[in-house]
Amino acid sequence: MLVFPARLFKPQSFKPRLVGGSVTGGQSLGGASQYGDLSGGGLWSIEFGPSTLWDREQMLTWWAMEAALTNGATPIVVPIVDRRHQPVNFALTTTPFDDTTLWDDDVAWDQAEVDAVVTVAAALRATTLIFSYSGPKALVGGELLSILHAGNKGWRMHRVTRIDDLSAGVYTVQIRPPLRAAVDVDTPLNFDTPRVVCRAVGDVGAGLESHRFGEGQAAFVECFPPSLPD
Amino acid sequence: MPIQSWEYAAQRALAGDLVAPCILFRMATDPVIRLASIVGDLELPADNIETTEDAVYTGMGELTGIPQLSDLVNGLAERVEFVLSGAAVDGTASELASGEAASIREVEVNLGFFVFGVADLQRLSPVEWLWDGTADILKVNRQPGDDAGAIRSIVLSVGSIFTSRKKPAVSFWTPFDQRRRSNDDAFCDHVPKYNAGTTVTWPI
Repeated sequence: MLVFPARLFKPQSFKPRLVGGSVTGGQSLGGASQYGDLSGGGLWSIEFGPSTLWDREQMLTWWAMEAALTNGATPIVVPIVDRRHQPVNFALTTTPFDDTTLWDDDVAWDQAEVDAVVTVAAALRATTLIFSYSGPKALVGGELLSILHAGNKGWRMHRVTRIDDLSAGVYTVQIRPPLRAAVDVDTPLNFDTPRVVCRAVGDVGAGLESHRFGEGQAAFVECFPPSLPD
Repeated sequence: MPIQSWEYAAQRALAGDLVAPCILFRMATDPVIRLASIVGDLELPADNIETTEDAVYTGMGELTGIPQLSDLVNGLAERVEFVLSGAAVDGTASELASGEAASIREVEVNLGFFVFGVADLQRLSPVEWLWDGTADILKVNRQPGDDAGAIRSIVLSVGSIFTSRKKPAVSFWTPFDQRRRSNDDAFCDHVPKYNAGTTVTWPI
């Protein structure tokens, strides 16, 4: 399945937020109005700021991605690469393999720094999650986490809105949006690079300036395709 | 109509000026079409309308228009139109539109409603099934759109009890009405021959 290569494109900004439909009854005579949220939690809308594409690899990758997105009909996994705000160390450390492994020496790989695993099963649409956690930084609320669901749900992302309890390394937190599918015990949670299945919205093209440089801008919204490509 | 008691918390949730409601649409086709106005899936316990335990209602942008509905007490029967998305991400609505017209006629359509607690977004009330009707006609609408593209919707015409296709208060039951109810029943085929002043010879 396609993954938006955020580290390659290095967008200047990004804005993930929850959007949803709402109704209002109009303003009453006294000036107050009633407001209803019909989305039951909302869905993710992620807008990336401009990405300056200055070398051949970046331009070609952007064009290939734009064509593969089929005007928004093909789902793509969008990661949020934000090492300053996720509970990880800012510097991306890579660890080389050593001898006697099947990989050559000095091939670099990075391992998830946060190890979080669900300890109490949660139902579909639950907003409370209980999990064991060990990572470089403690959770304070506002971090994103991702869960890989089976079937056609794939990667889904949630934001920690409140820490209800922390005891013996087990967090009880409130998340939004509610879970998109039921979650079993021992399901891992991805705090390092949270990601969500999205589709592209609007124009994802990147024009070529001076036959050399380009600037691309992409916006995505969470989607629920009937099946996920491999 | 099922009679359900709403707990105090649910009633209070609606009394404020901030609510998180959810509207449900259930159409008793085979398989049953279950749509919710929210984003994502939703599981509901069984009751007297939704007879399957843990039925899953999907919210993936299908339900785009709910009409104004009236509670009928000594009123005129009404025919309303539900608007479903015609872009068919998951196919239920497009299967409806492309399938046999006969498969949706006389199918029961129910509209339900419940409230989420605004603090925890969990269901606060039992489902109140507000309105039921019988599905009739399906139309596909396409509006040329702006940058987002054309808007294609499926309009489902649903009648409440006692609607029929005839407008006048008094009319004949035609062979077409009988065929609509049972398409191999020729019982009413000779009705057009019966007029005042005509003589019908036997055998017909």
